[in-house]
Amino acid sequence: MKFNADEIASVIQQEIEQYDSQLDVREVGTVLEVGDGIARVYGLSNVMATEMVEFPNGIIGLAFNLEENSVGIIILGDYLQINEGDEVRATGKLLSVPVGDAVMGRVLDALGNPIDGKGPLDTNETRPVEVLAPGVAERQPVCEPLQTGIKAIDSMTPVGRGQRELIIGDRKTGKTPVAIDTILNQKDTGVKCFYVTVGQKDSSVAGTVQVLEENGAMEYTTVISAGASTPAPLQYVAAYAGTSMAEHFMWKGEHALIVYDDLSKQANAYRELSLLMRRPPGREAYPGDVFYCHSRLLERSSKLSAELGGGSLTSLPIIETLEGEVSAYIPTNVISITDGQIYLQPDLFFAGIRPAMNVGISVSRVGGAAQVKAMKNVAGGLRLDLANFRDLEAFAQMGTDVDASAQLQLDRGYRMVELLKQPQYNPLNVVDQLIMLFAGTQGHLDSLPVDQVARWESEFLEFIHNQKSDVWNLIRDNADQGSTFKSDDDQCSQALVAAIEEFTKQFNAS
Amino acid sequence: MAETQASKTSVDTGQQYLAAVYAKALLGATERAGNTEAVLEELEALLSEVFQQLPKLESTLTSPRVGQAEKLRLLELAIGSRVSRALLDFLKVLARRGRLDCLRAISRAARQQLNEIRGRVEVTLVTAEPLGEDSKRQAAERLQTALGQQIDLSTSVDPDLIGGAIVRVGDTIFDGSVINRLEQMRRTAHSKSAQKIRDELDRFATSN
Repeated sequence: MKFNADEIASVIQQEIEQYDSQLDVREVGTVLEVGDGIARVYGLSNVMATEMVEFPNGIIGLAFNLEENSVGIIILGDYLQINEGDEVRATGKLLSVPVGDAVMGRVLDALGNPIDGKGPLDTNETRPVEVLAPGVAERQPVCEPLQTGIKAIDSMTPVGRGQRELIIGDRKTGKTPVAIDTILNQKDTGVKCFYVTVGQKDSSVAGTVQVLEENGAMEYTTVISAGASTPAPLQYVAAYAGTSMAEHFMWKGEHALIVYDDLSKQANAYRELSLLMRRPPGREAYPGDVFYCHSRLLERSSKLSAELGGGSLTSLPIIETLEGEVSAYIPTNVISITDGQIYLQPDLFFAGIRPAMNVGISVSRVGGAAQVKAMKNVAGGLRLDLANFRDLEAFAQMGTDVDASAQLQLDRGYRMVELLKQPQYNPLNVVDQLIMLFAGTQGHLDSLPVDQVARWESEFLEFIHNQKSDVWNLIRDNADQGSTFKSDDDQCSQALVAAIEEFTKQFNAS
Repeated sequence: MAETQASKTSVDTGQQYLAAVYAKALLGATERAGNTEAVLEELEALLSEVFQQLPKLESTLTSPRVGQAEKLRLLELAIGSRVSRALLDFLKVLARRGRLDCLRAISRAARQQLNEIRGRVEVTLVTAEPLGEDSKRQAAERLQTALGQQIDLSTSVDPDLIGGAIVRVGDTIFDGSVINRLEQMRRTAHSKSAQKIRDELDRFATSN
C-alpha cells in the first residue's frame, strides 16, 4: 500500500483552516497521592459520583469516593504515568464504550480499545457503561429457548433468552467449556455473543479466542478481556462495559448472550478497590455493596417487551468456588440473583462424566417456558429419573439385591448417564438432542452394553443425517408442537422408532 | 514559585480539617476586634518573609522534639515585639496545643474563609510574560465585572503558555493560552483527518 502524502497534508491543512478556537473552560483538581490504581485528588469541587475525569496523557479515571476535602478516583489505565501535583480535569461525562456491529469479531479491553492488532474500531456509536436496568413495564417473561447445545443442560436446566443462568463449580471442573460450547452453538441463530474475561490468564484468553476462531464463532462474538495483569479498576469495569455492548443489540430488538468469566474475580477486584479507598470491609472483607455490584449488573439481562422490539440479553455468569463451598459470600449472592444455576462437581468430572453437572442441585427457575415443547415431552421426567437412579445406585453399591423393576431403572440410568456425556466443543443441534434423548428415555438403548452407547450415538446420528433426513426434517418442523413425542402414536415418535429399529439391526450386525 | 507550587499540592486532608477549625476561631476573634485584614496580612508576611528566610526557625517551632515552654519563649523572643498582640496570642495558643505545624494550612484556610465572608473570590491569572501594573489593574477590573464579584487577584508567570492567559477561579480554569489552543487544534486535526482517511481510504492510498 502506498500513501499519498499530499492528499493527507491537504486534509490536515483544511482542518487547521476550519479550526474554530473556543475558550477552554474546565474544572480541575490536583493529584495529592497516587498508587495501586487509585488517586486522591484535591479540588474538583463540583465533580459527580462516577463522573469521568481525565489525567494528563489522556488517562481516564472515575470519581469513586466524594469526600469532604478530597475525591477518590479509580484510574482506568496505567497509574504509573501519573504524578503527584498533576492536573485532573472533570469531563462532565459518564464513561462510555463503543458499541455496534463494528465490535463483532474483535478482542477489546475494558474500555473498548482493540487489543487484537486489527486496527481501530470503525464506529461512532457509544453507550454509557453504567445504565439502569430495564424496569418492570419494559420487560416480558422469558419465553424463547436459548439452545446451549449441551444435552444435559437443554434437557434438564433449560436456558431461555433473557435468563441469567449461573455456572458454578470448583476450579478445573469445565465451567468455561460450558460457556464456550454455548457460544459455538449460537452459530447461524443471530444471537450476538460477548465473552467477558476478568482476571484470567492472558494465555487462556488467547486459547479461547483461537477456539472461537477455529470454529467460526468469532464472526458473531466479541471478547472483552481484562486479564490478570490489568489493574483492578479495569477488571471491575470490564463486566459493565461488556454488558453495555451487548445491551445495544438487545435494545435494537436482537438477541445477545454474555458470559462473565468470572464474577468471583470481578468481586475480588472490587474488594481491592474498595479497601484501597478505605470503604469499610464487611463479610470476607468485601464491601457492603458487593451484592449491588452484581445485582445491578445481572439485572440488565432481560427480555424486553414486544413494544420495545422483544430483544433479549441472556447472561451466563461464572463463579468459582473453593473446595465446593457454595455457602461462601459471593456464591450465595450470585445464586440468589440469578434464575438458576448449573453446578459442576469435581468428583463427577474425574469420573469421566463431562459436563460434570450435578443434576440434583442444578436448577433453572424459568423451566419449561425456555424449552421447545418436544423437549419438554421427551425430557420432562429425566431429572427425577436420574435422581431416583442416584439413590438406587448408592443402594446397589452396598451389595443389596434389587428387584427386576429396580434393575431396569438402574440399567436405564447407567445408559442415560452415558448418553448425557458430551465432548468439548461439540454442541448438538436441538433436533439431534431430541433424537438421542428420545432413544434413551424410551428404552431403546436398554439392551445395548453401556460402553457402546457413545459409539451408537455418533453412528446413529450419522445414519439419520445421511439416510433418514426426512425423519430429521419432520422432527425439526414439529419440534415446537405440543403433541410431538407426547404419545407412541405421534407421527414423529413412529418415524423415529422405525429409524431406530432399522439402525439397531445394522449396529448389532457390525 | 516552585516552592509555593509544591506547598499548594501537598495538602494533608487531616491537617486541612484542623486548620479550618483554627482559622474560624482566629477570624472570630479578629472580626470582633475589627483588625482581621491586618492580622491576616501579618500572618502571611510572617510565613512568606520571616519563615522563608529563616527556615530553621520554622522547623524549630514545628518540631515535636522542642518543648512547649521553649516554643513559647522563642515566639516571645523572636517576634514578640514585631507583631500585633492578637497574632502573638494566636501563635501562643497554637504552640500550647502543638499545632504550629498547621500554620500554613491555617493561613490558607483563613484567607479562604475571609473571602467567603466578604463575598470575594480568589482569582489567579497566569500569563506568559510578566504583567505591568497598569495591565494588572485593567485585568482585575475586567474580571471583577465579568464575575460580578469582588476579586482577590494574584498573578504568576509561565513562559510555557507562549501567549494568552489562564484565569483560575476556584476549581474552574478558563484557558485562553496559545499552548492550549495549539494542543486542541492538534487533537481535532488529528482525529478528524484520521476519520477522513479511514472513510475514504482510496483517496489517500493506492495499493500496489
